[in-house]
Amino acid sequence: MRCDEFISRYDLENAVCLDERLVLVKAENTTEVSEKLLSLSPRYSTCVGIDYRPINRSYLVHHVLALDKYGLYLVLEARAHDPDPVVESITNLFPAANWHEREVMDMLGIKFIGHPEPYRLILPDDWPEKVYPLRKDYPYDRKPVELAEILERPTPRNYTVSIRRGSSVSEAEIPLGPYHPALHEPEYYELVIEGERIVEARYRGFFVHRGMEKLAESRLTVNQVAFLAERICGICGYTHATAYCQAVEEAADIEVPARAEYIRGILLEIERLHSHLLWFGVAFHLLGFDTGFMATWRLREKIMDLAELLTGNRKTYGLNLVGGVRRDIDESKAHAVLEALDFIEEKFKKLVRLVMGMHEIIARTKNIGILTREDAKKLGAVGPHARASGLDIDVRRDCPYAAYKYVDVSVPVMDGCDVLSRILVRFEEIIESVRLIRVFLREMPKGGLMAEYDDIPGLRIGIGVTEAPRGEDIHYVVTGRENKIYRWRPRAPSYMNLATVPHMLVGEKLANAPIIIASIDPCFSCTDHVVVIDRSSRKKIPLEKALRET
Amino acid sequence: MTLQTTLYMCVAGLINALALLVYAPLLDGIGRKIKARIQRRKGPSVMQTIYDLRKLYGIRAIVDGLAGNYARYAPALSMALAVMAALMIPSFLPSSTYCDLIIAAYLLIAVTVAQTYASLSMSIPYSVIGGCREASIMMASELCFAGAIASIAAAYGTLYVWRASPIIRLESLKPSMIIAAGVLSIVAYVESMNLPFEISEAEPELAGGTMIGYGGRSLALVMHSAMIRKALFISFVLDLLFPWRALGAGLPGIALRIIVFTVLLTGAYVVMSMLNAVYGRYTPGQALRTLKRVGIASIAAVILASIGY
Repeated sequence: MRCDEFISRYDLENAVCLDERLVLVKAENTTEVSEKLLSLSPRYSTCVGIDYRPINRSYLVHHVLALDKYGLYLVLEARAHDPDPVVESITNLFPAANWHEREVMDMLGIKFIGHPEPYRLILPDDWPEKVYPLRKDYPYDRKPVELAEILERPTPRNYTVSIRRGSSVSEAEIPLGPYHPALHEPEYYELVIEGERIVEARYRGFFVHRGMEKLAESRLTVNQVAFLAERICGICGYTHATAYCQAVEEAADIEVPARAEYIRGILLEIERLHSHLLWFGVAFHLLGFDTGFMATWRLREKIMDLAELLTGNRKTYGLNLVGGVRRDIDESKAHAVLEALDFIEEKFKKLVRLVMGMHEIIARTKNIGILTREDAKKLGAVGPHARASGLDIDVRRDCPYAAYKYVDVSVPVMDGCDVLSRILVRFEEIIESVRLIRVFLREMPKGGLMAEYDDIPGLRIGIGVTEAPRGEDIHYVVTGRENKIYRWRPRAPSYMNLATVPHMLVGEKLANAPIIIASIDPCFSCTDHVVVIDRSSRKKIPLEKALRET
Repeated sequence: MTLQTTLYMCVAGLINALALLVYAPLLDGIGRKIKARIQRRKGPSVMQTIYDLRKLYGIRAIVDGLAGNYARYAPALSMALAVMAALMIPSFLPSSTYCDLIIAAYLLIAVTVAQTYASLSMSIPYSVIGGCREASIMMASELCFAGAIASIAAAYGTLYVWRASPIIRLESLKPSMIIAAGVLSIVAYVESMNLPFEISEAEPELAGGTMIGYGGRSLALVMHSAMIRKALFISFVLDLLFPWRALGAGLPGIALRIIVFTVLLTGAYVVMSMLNAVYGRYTPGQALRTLKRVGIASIAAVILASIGY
């Protein structure tokens, strides 16, 4: 559905079309408008805080809601003003907004009235109060406090790191992370167990926040940010670069040549193959099946060879620029890709048959780590994780971009809601990726690789959305003047999926914890947060409260 | 027992123990190599485990600083028990015709108990988890083991390994002994810490077992004794299954036994490595459920043996 049709059909007040698929709704009362929008069953996607004071003396908060069945994104805008910027929280209506709003509180100092957990999320414990790094008057290279001052402070109370034999006969606390062989990036879980059963799960992250947004907004030009975006993730960096470029292209009305769109599509699918095969390797290793781990990573090597052939790099392709791509794919390369795909598909299908016959793998993943469809929807799960819980969402089909605009994408959906379903969804996605690459190579039109465009106009909003291997990846851009970006907010899919992990852990056996955590294919270099689940009510409780009670 | 027999038993036991001290790490290296080749890796040299142990023995003993006193002495204790079992249980040489089934089982289990208790006395939660898992698996598999031994004792009216061997005799085939042979093989596989039963040291599953709290010489002792115990467990099963007396007596018989035993022991490691490569890991619950079925089979063997089958 087109944007203007949507506005007229639903009679939205204060709504304007920013482009064909982006609706901006300016809200005086965000709660009231959000309640009205609930009837459209939107999916909470991201929230962006913008220090707009240099432009019109206000702060903007943009909640981005995905309307999957209409193929649209809706931006709900709220304003706040100095000296005490406040807006209404919509976390009670959209639980997935919880972390986003807290991040805006941390980084811009905009308070959300009615937020159930108005606590620090990203900034470290020793970060000073009332210092907000994403405000425009905060220099990118400023140190908030001197080292000597930090050392003089009392150490903030942290989680206990030793086993506790509590009053309960068999209760114990198991620290998992920040560095552990079962984890591949820094994250911290604290699991309270009774026997082998997990009765409480705590998670803390944000150990690797790198301040990329500030760097992009302060130092880099529009095209340089594409390369920074690719470095958000070491696995799915290309999808970030593509989402960023699409956001700028949308904001600046740049039409990318079709051939460049196909090349992007091919590389996005190659990246998906790489990511999924990597994940299978990790999952098999966690399940003790190292032969499977070796086999999948051998196939992954072939995929990386393909990436090198097409881009010159095994990872971090460096292929995208705003307006197109930097390298073409000629006949000989296309032929080599098709040959390699035949080999990979055959070997992968053999491996699938082998794994599906392994009763210990099936028994260890079936009915393990359950996330119901309702919880997945409520918590904003995306990607294969959401599809394994019965949510039929995929940006490639619902809001097509790049080469997906020209082909049909088959989206596997399972309703097992368990780890096995997540495995099966990824199995099918690999087969579909191979098919898509073949179609893209066959149907790729001739033509240029780069769009011609003048300067990027300032203060335009653009949203770039891609279906990363882990789910919806959304980049929100407000263009700036002099070839700069005014505001850039990338939101990786793991940001949404990680919130679901403690819910999946409680009630499970300890031995299953690593595979449950891994089943969402988490990426911590993009994402980090804190969630505590209370054992009796099985509801989230604030971290500070949990720490006080520890 | 004559003086000559006693002397032979002492010397043979000593040779067996010394041979296993060297050959058990080599078998581990062979197992690693085979697993690597199945996974289409080059893998480490077959001597790698020996190199690792040599290096670890050269480093001072390191023990978890907050562990209980027992944990400090457990590596030496487990090695002493492993060597004692190697002296007693016939392996390369038929060291003792008086080796008692119960004493052999007791010594083999004692090594595991020593190490499990050490992991439980560590201050490291992962070690405690590993210890608990090891204890659960051990108790389940030892029950199966006890059932198999009881059925052998009931079937042949003796507790001596040498007299009961081979437990499967073609001239008087007993169903109970076929079951007992299966149970013993499974127990040896489980006790050898092979997948899918390699649970207590499964770091990716939040367990560290005994070894996580040790370093240097202590770790070498723990690892080395575990390897000897694994080789002995298989030797024990081979002692009961293979018709050793058919190889004859005297020096030619002994020489033949050494060759056949070495081939069988190595072959068992090869088979176990191959199985190791094609299995995933059980959760403790799944392992216990599997062992429960084996336990039922061993009880059936006892019942059948008691009524003459």
